[in-house]
Amino acid sequence: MKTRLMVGIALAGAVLTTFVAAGGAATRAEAQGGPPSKITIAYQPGLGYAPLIIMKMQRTIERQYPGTKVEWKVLASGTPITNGVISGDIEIGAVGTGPMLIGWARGVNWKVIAPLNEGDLWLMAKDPRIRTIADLRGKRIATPTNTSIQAVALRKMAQVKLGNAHALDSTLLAMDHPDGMQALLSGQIDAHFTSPPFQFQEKARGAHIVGRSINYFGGHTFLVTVMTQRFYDQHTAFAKRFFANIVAAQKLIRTKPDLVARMLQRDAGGAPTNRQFKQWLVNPALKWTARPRGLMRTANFMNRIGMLPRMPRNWKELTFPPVHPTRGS
Amino acid sequence: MATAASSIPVARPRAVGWKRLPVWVRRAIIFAALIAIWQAYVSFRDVNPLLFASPWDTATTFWDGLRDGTLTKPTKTTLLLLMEGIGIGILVAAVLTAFATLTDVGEDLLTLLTSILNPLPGVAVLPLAMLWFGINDKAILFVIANATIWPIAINISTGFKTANPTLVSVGRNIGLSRVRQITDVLAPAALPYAISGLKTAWAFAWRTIIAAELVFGVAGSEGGLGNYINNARLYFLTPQVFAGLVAIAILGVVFETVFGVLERRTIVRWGMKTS
Amino acid sequence: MPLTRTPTKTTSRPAAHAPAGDTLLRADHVQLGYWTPRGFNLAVGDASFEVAPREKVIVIGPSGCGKSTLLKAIAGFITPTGGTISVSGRTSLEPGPDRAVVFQEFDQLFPWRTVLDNVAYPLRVNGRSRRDALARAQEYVELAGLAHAADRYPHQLSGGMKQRVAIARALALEPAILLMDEPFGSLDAITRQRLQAELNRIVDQTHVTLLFVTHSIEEALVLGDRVVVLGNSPSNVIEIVDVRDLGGPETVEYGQMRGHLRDLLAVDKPIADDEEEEVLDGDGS
Repeated sequence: MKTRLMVGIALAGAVLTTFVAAGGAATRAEAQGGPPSKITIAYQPGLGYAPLIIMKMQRTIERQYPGTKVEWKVLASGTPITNGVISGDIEIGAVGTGPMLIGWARGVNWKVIAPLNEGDLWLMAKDPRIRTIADLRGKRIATPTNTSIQAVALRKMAQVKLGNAHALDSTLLAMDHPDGMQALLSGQIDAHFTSPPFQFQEKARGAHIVGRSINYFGGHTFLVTVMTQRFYDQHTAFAKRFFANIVAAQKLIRTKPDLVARMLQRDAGGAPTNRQFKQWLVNPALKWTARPRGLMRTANFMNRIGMLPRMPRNWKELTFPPVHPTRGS
Repeated sequence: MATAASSIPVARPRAVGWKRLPVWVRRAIIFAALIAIWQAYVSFRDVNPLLFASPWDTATTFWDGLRDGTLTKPTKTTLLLLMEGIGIGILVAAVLTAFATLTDVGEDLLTLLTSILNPLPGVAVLPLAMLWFGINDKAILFVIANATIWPIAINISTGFKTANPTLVSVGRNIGLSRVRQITDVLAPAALPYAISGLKTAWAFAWRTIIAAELVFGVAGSEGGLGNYINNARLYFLTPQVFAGLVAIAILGVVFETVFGVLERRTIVRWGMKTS
Repeated sequence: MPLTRTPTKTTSRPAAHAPAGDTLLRADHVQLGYWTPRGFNLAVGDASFEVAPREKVIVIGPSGCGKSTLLKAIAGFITPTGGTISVSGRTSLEPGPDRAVVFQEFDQLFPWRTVLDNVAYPLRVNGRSRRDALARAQEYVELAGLAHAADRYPHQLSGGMKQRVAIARALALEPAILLMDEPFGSLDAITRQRLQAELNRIVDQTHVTLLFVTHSIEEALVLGDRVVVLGNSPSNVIEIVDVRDLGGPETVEYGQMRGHLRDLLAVDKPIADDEEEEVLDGDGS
């Protein structure tokens, strides 16, 4: 029996050491400052990610760094992307400003390497009786997630119009954009706070705008790409180049929307037409700029309503040095 | 005599060891060991606390959640919804099975429905349920009921079919009506099956409701446990995620215990299942 | 011995010793068969006999001769394919407590009911009040010598005890006739003998009419007033004998009767080889 007990203890110990010892090895690779041997970039479906899709279609990184294996991942929701960046499975992730700020405040060691755009996000309703924010009391409103920039903007609207930031929280639903659009158009929900191109499509199919995020926040950054401090420190040159690539892609959207529309259409592999994509790209609801805007205003508001446990000193604390010369806010 | 004497010291050590400890002590030791491994994993490896919470953090978060109601309220919401859904599931399953037992058409109907609907994962039905019932509790109730009806119905009807034919003959012999034959003979005879069906249904329902709440968690006051976990995830509150999981695990253990007692008082006591 | 022998190829005639005009059970040219995928299978070809009130009649026959099937038909579980069975003058028979059955299987008790409850429950089903049923059940449980085990569940009982409970349950219903289908067939020899004695005592006390199916000659001689002997399947009644005044197993008459029955059961093999070969599951099901 003694031996059996000993075997048991030894076994438990072995399991424990395996747990403790495993990993560790992986973290030490690539300590030198060169380009990464492999990089995974993740984003979600949506028009706002166009600069990344351009890089993907033009094989920009592959051409600049032939030794780097590039993997693009399109994930249906933001949570796996943030989790992937934290765990190190994803080197560069495209996320909304809301989750970026919350992650930063909760101690995720990440910062913005390149903002993708400014966005004017629309709160849509289909029922003609819903005209104002006040009409939304007790109505079912869908946003992508509870921490999305849309949910933040909705709370801002509630605070301004109803006097209580959380007045609409109890009927808030979390739905990804396509589901939310379908739900709104079929009348299952009363309002949908979404983003391009879904807000365009909803408008085209009979829904109307109840509120616009820029009316409450001013111009503000919508989507950003983030990486960890560690990755930035290890591959600073690569990160700088990535920022430049995003800026170039944004310029391409502004100057040659036709060309970009064809790229997006090819990437989507069907449904929307070139013309459709072009109309969307030139719509002022998305402003293609790498200058961060309204980060502190958003952070401040989130902090005041209890969504953000700590505040950055300034917007530069949230971004990596390549972004700093853009005179952001 | 010599063989007997020599065999005793060999046999005895087996008896003084692990197996001689009371069950609860053995379980407590294993439980403590698992917690120790968990804590060691967190302490000795450079684990990112955003990805993996320590037992201590989980425990304090759990305790806080109990005290200020942030954990108890969603748990209650989820449990109530769960009970209601399972209740509806049991009712429908009972009616379907009775119908199937009394009529040939009913039997074919049950077989057909079961083979179509049972393999559907609960959550897969959710989008449809949302179309039919709207985005509210009714959709979740429907999905839970659907997840529970079929395992229960299958098990009960198997129980009915495998019921001891002698007992059925006795029932007819003493003059039972068909309805009483079902309630008084087939139902208790099928109880072991019904209980195992209920256990499966409970597991299905749990998975379904948590997944459903993740799909469209109602934010704010009405949210359930799935919503609690999802929200914690969104706010990078990993200890809360773990505390939510612990709550689910504890409820699982409680349920298992309740069913253990139920079984001991019925089918074990009646010799229909060896404990 | 010849005195008690009654030649009975002639089954349409009233059987010997059945009190005239006072017949409780009458089987008249009963034919029993069933359909299998291979065709119609005849279990009992032609069976006629009668049972008088308070009489103890044993049906005996070789394995698979259809004796159990016959009992099931009397109980109402199956319908004869020919002839008629009448009990107390009624011919279309549904299963009912007036023909309480004791089966061979030990698991004929409701596992979820105690001994007392197993006996009381059928009484409740048949309209007695709870109190009345319990009092009566108690009485019959005592009669079966099981007072000490009244609160036990069936799985805590031995096979012999289970069969005694089944007998108590059937008797408590006060049936017009008690039907027993090899109830002691699965018991060891010692328990079997003890239960035979018990049954004799109980039947004498309650004056119940008994129809008892067995394949054991000794059992037939110990328990019966008359013995209906069935031949091989598809069986006919080959003889009905009176065994009530034989005396104990040590007597000459007993020995002679046993020898006679042995001869009947062993000798009466199918004459033609092209008879159905299949052995009916008269004992098992």
